[in-house]
Amino acid sequence: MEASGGADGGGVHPLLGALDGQNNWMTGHPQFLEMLELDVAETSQVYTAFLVYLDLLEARNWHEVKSVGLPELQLICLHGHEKEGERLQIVVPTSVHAAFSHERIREIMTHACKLQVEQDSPMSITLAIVESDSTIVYYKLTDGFVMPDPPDAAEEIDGKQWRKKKKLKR
Amino acid sequence: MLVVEVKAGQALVWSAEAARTLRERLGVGGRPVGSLARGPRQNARLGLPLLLLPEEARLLAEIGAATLVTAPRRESGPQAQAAAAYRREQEAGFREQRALAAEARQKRLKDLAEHIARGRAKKQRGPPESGQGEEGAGLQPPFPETAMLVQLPTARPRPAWARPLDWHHPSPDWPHAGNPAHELRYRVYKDLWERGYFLTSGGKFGGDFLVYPGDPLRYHAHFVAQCCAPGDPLPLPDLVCAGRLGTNVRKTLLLCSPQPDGSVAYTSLHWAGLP
Repeated sequence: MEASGGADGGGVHPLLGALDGQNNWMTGHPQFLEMLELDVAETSQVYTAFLVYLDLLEARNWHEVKSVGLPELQLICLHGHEKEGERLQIVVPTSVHAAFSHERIREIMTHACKLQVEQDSPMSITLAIVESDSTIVYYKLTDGFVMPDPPDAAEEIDGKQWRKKKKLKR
Repeated sequence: MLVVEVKAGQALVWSAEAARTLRERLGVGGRPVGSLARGPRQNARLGLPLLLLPEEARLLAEIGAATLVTAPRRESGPQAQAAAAYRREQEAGFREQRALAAEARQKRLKDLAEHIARGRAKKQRGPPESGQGEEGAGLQPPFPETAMLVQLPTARPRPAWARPLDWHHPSPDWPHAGNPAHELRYRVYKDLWERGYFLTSGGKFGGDFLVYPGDPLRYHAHFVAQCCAPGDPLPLPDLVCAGRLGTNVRKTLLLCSPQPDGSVAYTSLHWAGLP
């Protein structure tokens, strides 16, 4: 299977390549096609971005998720709102194997945040790291120093959880 | 001017005054590593000397707050002489102490002479016993070598031979100069220190530095700083690892890269626990 995918597909994801002939809903999904038409990234990257798109919309109930191409970096990023009316967030989907450096992260941040509406807030992107089993973890990257949550608040939350657990036990 | 003694790349501060000034006025903590010679695990907290990070020592030298000094390496000849002199000194001390101990015993016997005589008279009235006492008084008191008192100097007993260390160039005592990893860490250390942060070594959380908003005894660290050159590869699994740990201990992972223009770029990393 892998051999055939590699032979005719070029950058095509092995799985998608193999399923191409059999009416795969994923490759026919309008959003997937739209991402392909942006023509900024190779197919495997489009696939990664599409997985994140689905996760944001269907598993995390985000609103108005749109795909935006960054031709300078050959990257697709997603714009969306975690809740309706909340501020725009920029999500950069990437495979876990992608090569990264601090310089590259900052490049992505600068380019992706050019379109940000609020200019006064610090540049910030969310990196969506996709594992080969399509597990997705989200990491927020912000320019400069971001204070962590104070430990006191943490204790309160922990206390609440503890009470909850205690209730459940009873 | 504070004195930082450097040996084989390790920078130590021995004076309590200096350690206090460093901590309170300069925001440089160091790490206490000293203990009693025979009780290295006596206390949970160690004492003087302070072991400074190479970056801390260099910063102090660069801002002119301290002089780095080092003792010239001695050849084996003078060292053997010094050891012989030390041994001679000890033997003399032992003889002196033995004489003093004998003298003290004689004096004590004299003071107690009356008491002893009374005791003896009492005994003679009782059942007769062989007179060992007479001989015992004349014997040399036993003074084993292990009972000898030895002075351990807590300050340098001889005039100092330390000379200033040139930290601009690498040497056996300062191998850090010119080392790319040290230069990278130093630029980040200095920039964060200038921003008013208090830094300690970050080994506890796998980073380069722990960044505190003030004295580490009073605050939790806010950031785990990780120094990387802008172009260094940054494998995503490592980033996930570091970011997740940071989130768990309520610290922000801070990627720090010195830029060509002399500034340092910082990026904060948080696990976005999207619901």
